[in-house]
Amino acid sequence: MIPIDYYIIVSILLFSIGSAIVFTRRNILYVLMGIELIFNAANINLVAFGQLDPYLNGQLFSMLIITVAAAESVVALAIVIVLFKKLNTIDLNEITQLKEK
Amino acid sequence: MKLIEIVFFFFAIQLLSSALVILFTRNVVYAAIALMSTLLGVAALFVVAGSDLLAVVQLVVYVGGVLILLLFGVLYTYRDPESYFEKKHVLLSIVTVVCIAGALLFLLSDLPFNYPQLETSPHDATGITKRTGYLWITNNLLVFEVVAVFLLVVLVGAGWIASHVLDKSKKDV
Amino acid sequence: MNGLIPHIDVPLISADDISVLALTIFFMPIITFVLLFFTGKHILAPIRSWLATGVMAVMFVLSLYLHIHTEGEHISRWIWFEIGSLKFTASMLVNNYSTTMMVIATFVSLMVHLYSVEYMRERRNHSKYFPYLALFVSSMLGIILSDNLMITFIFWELVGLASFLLIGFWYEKDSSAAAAKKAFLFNKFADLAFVIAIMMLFANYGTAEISVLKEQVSITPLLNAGIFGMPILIGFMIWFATVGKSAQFPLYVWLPDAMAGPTPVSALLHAATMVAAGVFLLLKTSFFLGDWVGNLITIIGCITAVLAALQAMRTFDAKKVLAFSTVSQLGYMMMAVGVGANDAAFFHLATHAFFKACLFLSVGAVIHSMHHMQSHQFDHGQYKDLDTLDMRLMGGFRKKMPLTFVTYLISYAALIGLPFFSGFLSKDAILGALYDWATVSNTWTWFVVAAAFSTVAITAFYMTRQLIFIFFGEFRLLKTDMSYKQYFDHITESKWLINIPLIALATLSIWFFFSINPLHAQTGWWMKQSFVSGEHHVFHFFIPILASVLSIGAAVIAANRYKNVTVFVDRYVGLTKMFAQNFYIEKSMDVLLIRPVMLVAELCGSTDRWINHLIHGKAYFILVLAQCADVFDRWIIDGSVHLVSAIINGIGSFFRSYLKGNVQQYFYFTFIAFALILVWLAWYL
Repeated sequence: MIPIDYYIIVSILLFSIGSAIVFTRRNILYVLMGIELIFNAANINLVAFGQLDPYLNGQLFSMLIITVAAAESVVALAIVIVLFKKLNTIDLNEITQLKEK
Repeated sequence: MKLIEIVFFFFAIQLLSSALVILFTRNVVYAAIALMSTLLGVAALFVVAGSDLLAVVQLVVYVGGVLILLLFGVLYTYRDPESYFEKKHVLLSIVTVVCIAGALLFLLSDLPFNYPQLETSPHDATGITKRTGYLWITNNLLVFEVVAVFLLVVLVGAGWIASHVLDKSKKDV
Repeated sequence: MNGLIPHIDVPLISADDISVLALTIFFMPIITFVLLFFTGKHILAPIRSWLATGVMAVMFVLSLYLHIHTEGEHISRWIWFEIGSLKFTASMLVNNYSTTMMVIATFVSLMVHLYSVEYMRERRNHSKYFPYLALFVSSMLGIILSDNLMITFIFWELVGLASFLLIGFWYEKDSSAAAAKKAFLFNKFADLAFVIAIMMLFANYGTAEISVLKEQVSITPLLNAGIFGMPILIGFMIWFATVGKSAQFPLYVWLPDAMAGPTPVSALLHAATMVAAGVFLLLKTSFFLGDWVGNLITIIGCITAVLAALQAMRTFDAKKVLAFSTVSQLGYMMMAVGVGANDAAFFHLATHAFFKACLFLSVGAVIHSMHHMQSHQFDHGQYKDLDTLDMRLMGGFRKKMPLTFVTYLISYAALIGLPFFSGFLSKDAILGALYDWATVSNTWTWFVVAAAFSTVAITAFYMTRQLIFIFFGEFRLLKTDMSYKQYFDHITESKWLINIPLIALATLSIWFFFSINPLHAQTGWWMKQSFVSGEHHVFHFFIPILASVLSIGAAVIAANRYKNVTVFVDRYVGLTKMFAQNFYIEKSMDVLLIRPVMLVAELCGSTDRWINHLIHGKAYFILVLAQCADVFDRWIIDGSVHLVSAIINGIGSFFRSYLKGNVQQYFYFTFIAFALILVWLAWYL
């Protein structure tokens, strides 16, 4: 068996890269990809620890996460389409509607 | 070094480098393809960790669903060739990655993980797929149903948001 | 309920043939009314008129048949409605009394209808005239036939309504509308007494059936009841109700004003329907009149007779003279009722109906021709305001309209009580009854007799005056305006539709229709047949002689006085003014009744205003208090709350100013916060 430390390190790296994508990229699609990476980093951790659990809670939970991630991306893409229709842009620097006028 | 560790490192490096491609590329389509590579690597890690069912789910849902959706998004939001590319913040990205990773590693290095060091996975004999299915419909049945309903709601809601706005924009024109 | 209203067993009686026939006659004008009222404008005027007149003719024939075939009393009584265990009955009484009245009413109505066909031919609002007449007649028949005072009251009010509609028939004229209103209000005031009487009846006897009440009263004689005993008070109240309808002092002032209506209506009103209703009701319920009420009726009747006759002497309005004479004659009838000579009163009512209708219709014919002159002139492009009712402008119609003159003369003779005419018989009956009454009573009663005899003279005087004014001398309108000459020359006798009623009514004013003996009615068939309980008075030979001498003497004096007078100047201005003001009856009513009521109302009003001021003051006090509380609330309590919220708002906006609305910025903050929490955790773990 692979030691769990390895999984942890891989997941930390994946998480930090995903976070960097979320923080630095301006395109909203990149940000969505970064979020997917963060989800996967979490999944790796869960699976790594879950293989020792006789009730497989880690696996089941990561399966839930995959489902929720899929749902999240569906809604996010719907919002992206709406935003693009309304503002004709997907650049986050230009989307500042949350700031009160 | 055992074969399985070689496999693990190969896929770890593959998925991390793909992730870095996403971080640094200027082309959205490249980024999407790199994302696919990353997800495949994660699926491979799941297999290494003994969760073959989860790997299949990862492939089907992520690569088959989410990625396709993302590609649709990419194509749908096409405005002009320039919009695919954007300014890179290479230094900023590297600094962010190093900072976060360093901080987390520093934090976690102090934590004592008391887990048994096993040679083989405990579920190899029984078969993890059967066990997972059994657990879904017994111990975690409620969660299973809630997620099913949740998915339905998301499906309808997303469709409604998009179609509603599209209809509205049509009317505005 | 049962404790409040005494229970008397009222047997129900089903109607026999005679009652059914009477009911049929009663319902005929109602059907006419409904038919003509709702289809009025859609059918032609001649059809309308002749339909109503034809129905009236049928009614007259049926009434005559009914009168001939009625013997004894035919009561029919049935349940009207029930409240709990209380049964309210409706009933009808047919006897000689009521059938006689029906014959009179339907005959006079028929004559008036015939007359109206011509008279109203081209008048305004024609479509409503005949329905109203039908309503009038049916209400009168209801009063005549009903044996229940509640039912009577309904028709009593309907008569009031119909008279209101007909007096105000030309409601475009202000005087007409005012007269209608006046008649209505005066009648309503008196009708209040009727309502009180019905209440008293129910409180004491539990029923308003006249026949039943008659038995009850005869069981407990009036004398036992005391001076203000219940039956006597009921009698007083019923009498007061008739004071309004039958125009007694002091409420008679509406009747002269009621002349504003069409002349045929006046004839109907004065002869057979409205004013007769009061006397008839009093005759029906005369068993209630006991003790002092009879004397009161006699005295008031006497006052009415004298005052109205005096006023008639100074009036120049042709119709008003007749109106005052009606009031005067009603006074006679009331006197007769007061002394208990019911048959004499009813006899006078009957004869008066014929000759007064004839007088009105004759004068109406003259007025009609005057009116024609005015409208002819209008057709020739000239319009002059002409008072067609003013006797001073008339004169000389004797040669122009000889037939009208003759009919007028006959009914005139009947009214002033010349021998061989009907009025002589009935008036002598009343005077004889008064004389009998006076001989057995106190000394003051002789004043009443004296007044009654002098009124005979006054009547002769003013009637002669009118006769000379209208029919003798020369046409005085020409003295003021010669332009009427050509039209006056063209005046001829009226159409036959007007003449037939005149002739018929004048014929009925001659003695032999009532009694073969021209000097004494007691032996005549009328008195014997018409009344179930005719009491025979002793015949005083000197009374008719005295009355005739008085009337002939007064007529001669009046003839001499007015024979050669061509211009009429009032010499006694004060007297005329007093007469014109109805002896200041309205003024004194104003002072005695209206002013005090207004004063009390004013007092109540001012008290109310003061109470209002107090309440307003209290309200203002509370308002000021509320204002203070409002200021405290707004500045102290609200202020502190607003201060707190403003501080929090300020802090919020301070931090908000650092945000630019970028999503990634929120990521940063979230992440930094998360990292800080991690650091904090690591620090403590």
